Amino acid sequence: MNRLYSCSRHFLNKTRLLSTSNTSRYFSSKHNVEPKAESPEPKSSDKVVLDDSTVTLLERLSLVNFGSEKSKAILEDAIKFADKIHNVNVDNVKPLINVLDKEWSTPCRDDVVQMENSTQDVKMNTKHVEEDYFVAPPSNVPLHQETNKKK
Amino acid sequence: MQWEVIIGLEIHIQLLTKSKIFSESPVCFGYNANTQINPFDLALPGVLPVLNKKAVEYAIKFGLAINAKISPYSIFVRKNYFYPDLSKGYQISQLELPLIKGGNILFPIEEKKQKIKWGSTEIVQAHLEEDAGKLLHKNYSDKTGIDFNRAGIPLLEIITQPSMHSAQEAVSCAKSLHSLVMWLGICDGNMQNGSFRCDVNISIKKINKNEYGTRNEIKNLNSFRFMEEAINYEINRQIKLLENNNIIVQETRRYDPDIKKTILMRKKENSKDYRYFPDPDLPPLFISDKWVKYIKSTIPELPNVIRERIIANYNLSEFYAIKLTQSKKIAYFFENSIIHSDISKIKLLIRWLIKEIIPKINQNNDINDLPITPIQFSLLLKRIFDGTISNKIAKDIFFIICKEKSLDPGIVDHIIKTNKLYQISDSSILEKIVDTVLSTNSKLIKEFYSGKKQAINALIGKAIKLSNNKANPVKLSEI
Repeated sequence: MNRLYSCSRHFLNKTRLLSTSNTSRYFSSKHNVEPKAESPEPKSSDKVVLDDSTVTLLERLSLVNFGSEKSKAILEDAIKFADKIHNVNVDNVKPLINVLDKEWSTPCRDDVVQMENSTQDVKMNTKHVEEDYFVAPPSNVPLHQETNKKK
Repeated sequence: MQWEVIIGLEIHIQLLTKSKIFSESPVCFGYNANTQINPFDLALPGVLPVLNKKAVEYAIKFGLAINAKISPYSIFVRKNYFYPDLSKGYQISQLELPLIKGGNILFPIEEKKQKIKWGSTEIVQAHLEEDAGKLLHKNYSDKTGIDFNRAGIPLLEIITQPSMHSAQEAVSCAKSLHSLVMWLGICDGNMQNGSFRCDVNISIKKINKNEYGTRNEIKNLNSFRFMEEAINYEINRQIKLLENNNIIVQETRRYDPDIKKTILMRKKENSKDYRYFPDPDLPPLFISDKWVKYIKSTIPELPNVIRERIIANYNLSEFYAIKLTQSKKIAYFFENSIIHSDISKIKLLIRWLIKEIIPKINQNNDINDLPITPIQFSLLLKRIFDGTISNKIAKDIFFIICKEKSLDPGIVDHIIKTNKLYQISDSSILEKIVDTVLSTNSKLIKEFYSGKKQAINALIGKAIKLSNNKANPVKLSEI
């Protein structure tokens, strides 16, 4: 674990180093860099409307039940807000995979086993354990369209 | 209507590392649930992944063995899904910029008896990812039991082009990949424990049409026999659907060997549903030429090279050459025993290898654990050639050596001497045995004289039994 933490510290330091250079504002969280949008606000006519099958899909993927028309409206609003990103012109811009791209290969560790934590330590914050198994709600239970419509 | 079958494989192999791909907990099988985990495997707050160098090395080893391109620059992505088998809520995987690109795998297909045709399939890519935990539904009503021991074991996912057209081809391709990864020492190949798992994508199209059909995926096939059965069932199921003018929906299915059918697991998600994006915790992976060169120097001689050599040196057929190179251990055993043996008796050696030795060797995956040493084996054969012992007695001696696990080459002669297992070739003793057999088996003699030629073999068998397997069968039949 120490290795993991030391690695994370290393990266934090590295980022900080970068942020002291003259490109600092692009890496600092204190400066909000607004994307240059050709038309910053989508037109009001671009109202986002979600159909039932999309809602069902999103519910299934996120395991969140949208429940009411109100929460659906909030989601539609959020999508409209985020859709601004499509207005950014990214022609001839190479995607940036990572801020350390081209500069830093991911560090590798040797294939050595280290178990600094006992199994008890690892499980101590878990409420539901039965015969060493963590117990979770039933997984992958599909939300059927019919039951959704009833709601 | 004529249909064409299109099959592609996705194979997950667990890499034989000591620790997991992004954490330092151990990789092992068969332990109590949740004992081989650390905070990273549970995605506790503050943990970060650190890549295991050995896993990368093994993936590159595989890439070099299939003549693939090793990407100097590859990235890890998050595959997001809500399912309790990974506590992070995503799996770290590779997608568009994988470590291994291209390459191809050759596989033998037995056309007629002992006649081999070679098939070839291109590999699209092979990428690194982490395995997920195991879920247990049986003992928990309305709940799921989770064991994270498997979560984080390094996987290499190998994706082939959809270029196979029958269950036989697909199984043969999977078998070739299976023996290759074991040969390279990057996977233990244990299918029962899930170290080598095959997913098969199958679609059907009308012959001579360019348009592909909708594919169905059969997940987690962990035996070659089930794989063949599942593919054949799925092909028939899809053809029946199409012939009855039904449409095929993209699905993920699993095979139930008890009812010999594939069963719907879920409607297939498409890649958009997984919201793949680069993992911000893992910078890109750069691979230097120097490292690749080093890994190349550690690759053992590959089966195709050995195959060509033994065909050229010993004038063997391709069928036998494939049998003798099915694993590194068998090839090593063959090459080391042939140098101590008489090459003119190679047929006997191969018969012994295929019938007796290879099944024993295959019982144990440990490369150093041989049932008999090559020198002991060649001495045993020598004693058959020079007439000291019979073939049957040699088998008994072989079983004794397997049990005793002695490395002493003198053990063969020692066993013969102490148990007095010499073959009886003395005519006077043999004649006595023959007389006894003839006097007690008048029925068989009558059968022989009435034209039943096989009766003589039964008589010889009885004589050999009477001599405790020591009588020389050639001399017996002469008498």
